[in-house]
Amino acid sequence: MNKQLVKETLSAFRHGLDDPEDPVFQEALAEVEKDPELQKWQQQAILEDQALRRAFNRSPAPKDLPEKIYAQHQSAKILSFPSHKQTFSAVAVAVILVAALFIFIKVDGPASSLTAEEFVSSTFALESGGHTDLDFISSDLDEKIRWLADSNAPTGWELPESFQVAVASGCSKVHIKNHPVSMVCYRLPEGPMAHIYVIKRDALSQATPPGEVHYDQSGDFSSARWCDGKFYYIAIAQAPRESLAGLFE
Amino acid sequence: MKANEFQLLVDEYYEPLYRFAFSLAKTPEDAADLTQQTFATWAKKQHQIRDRKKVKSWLFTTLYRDFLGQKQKKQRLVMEEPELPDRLPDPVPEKYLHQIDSKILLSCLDEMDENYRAPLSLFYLEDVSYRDISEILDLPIGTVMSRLNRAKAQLRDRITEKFKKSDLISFPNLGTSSDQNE
Repeated sequence: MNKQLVKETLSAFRHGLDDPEDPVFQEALAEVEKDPELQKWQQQAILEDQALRRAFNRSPAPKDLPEKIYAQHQSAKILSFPSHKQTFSAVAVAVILVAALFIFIKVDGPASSLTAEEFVSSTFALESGGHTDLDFISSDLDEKIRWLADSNAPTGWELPESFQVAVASGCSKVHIKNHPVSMVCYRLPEGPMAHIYVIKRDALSQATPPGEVHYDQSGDFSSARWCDGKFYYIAIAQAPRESLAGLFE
Repeated sequence: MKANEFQLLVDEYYEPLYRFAFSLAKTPEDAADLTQQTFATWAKKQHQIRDRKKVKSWLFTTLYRDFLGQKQKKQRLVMEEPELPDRLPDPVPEKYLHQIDSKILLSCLDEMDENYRAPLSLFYLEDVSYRDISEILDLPIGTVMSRLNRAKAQLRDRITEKFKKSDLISFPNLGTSSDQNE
C-alpha cells in the first residue's frame, strides 16, 4: 500500500472511535506505524478533523425549531394511540369509547340533558380516540376567542392566571350531546400538550359548585376539572398528573 | 410514541439534522422545513422501525431522500465525479486550524459540489461512520470512501485559500505588522 492509498483510506477514519477495529483501516494504520512521515501526516489530519468537527457542530440551529416541530406534530395527531404493542388493549378501549361517542356526541338535533360525568367521559373519549384535530391554528389567544365566538362556541370564560406560562397553539369547536364546547390546545411548560374543554355550566344538569380543582389519572391521560360561576372546564393531557397540576400552582 | 418520547427524539436530533439539512439546502428556511418534514415522517412511520438503534440513521436517510425528492422536482441531479488529484493536499496548516469557525466552514461547504457536501457533513456530524454514510446516502462503500476523500481535498483547498486571502488582506503590501503600525 503506497502513501497515497494510505492517506485516501484514512480519509474516512475517525480517530478515537472504534474504527481501528475495522479491517478496512488496519493495513493503512499498520503502514502509518512504520512511517514517520505518515505519522506526522496523520497527526495533522486528526487535528484538522477535530477542528472541523468542532466548527461544524457549533453552527447554529434555530432555537424555536423544536417548538415548531412539536406544534406540527400535535396539530397532525394529538394524543393518539401510538404503539402497535398497545393495539389489543386499544381496540377494547376504542370499542367502549366509540360507543360513548355515539351515545353522547351528536351533531344534529336538539341539545339533551348532559351530566358533568357524561361531559368528562365524552372528552376522554375524544382524546383517546384521537378526535382532536384543531380547526383553527394560532398562538394568539384573542384570535382564537374570535374564531370560537364566530363558530358559536362558548366564549367569555377565563382560565387561571397561571395558564399564561403555557402557549396556546389552536382551538376547535366540538359538540357533546349537541351542546357546543370550546376546545383550546395548550403546550404545558414541561413540553406536553393539554386540551382544555369548556362548556357552559348551565348546560350540565349536575355540575359541581365552583371550588377546587379535581385531578384524575386514567392510563396515560391525566385530567383536571374545575368550574366557575358560568363555565365548566376540563383539561386533559397525555402526561403525568404533576405536569397538569403545575398549571394550577 | 408518547408525546414525551417524541420530544426527546426531537431534542436529541434536531440540531444535527438541521445542520445536515443546511449543508444540503443552503438556506435556513429550507433546512428548517426539511428537518420538520423528517420528524413528521417519523411520526407517521416510526412503527416500521424495529431496531431502535437505527433511529438516527433512519432520520438522516429520510431527510436526505426528502431533499433529493425536492431537488429532483426542480432539476435532475447530474453527478460528475471529478478525477482525484495526483497528490492529495496536505491537511489545513495548524496555524489556521484554531481560526476555523462554523461561518468559515459553512461558506467553504457552500462552494463545494453538492455530492461531496452530504458525505462530508455526515462525517463531521456526530462522527457518522463511512458505513452509516453509505447506508444513509444509499451509496456503495467504495463510492463513499472516494467522495469523502475528494470532499476533504476540496475543503482543505478552500479553507487554506480563504485564510491565505485573509493573510493578504491583513498585510496588503506584504509588509510586516510592525511596518503597518508605523
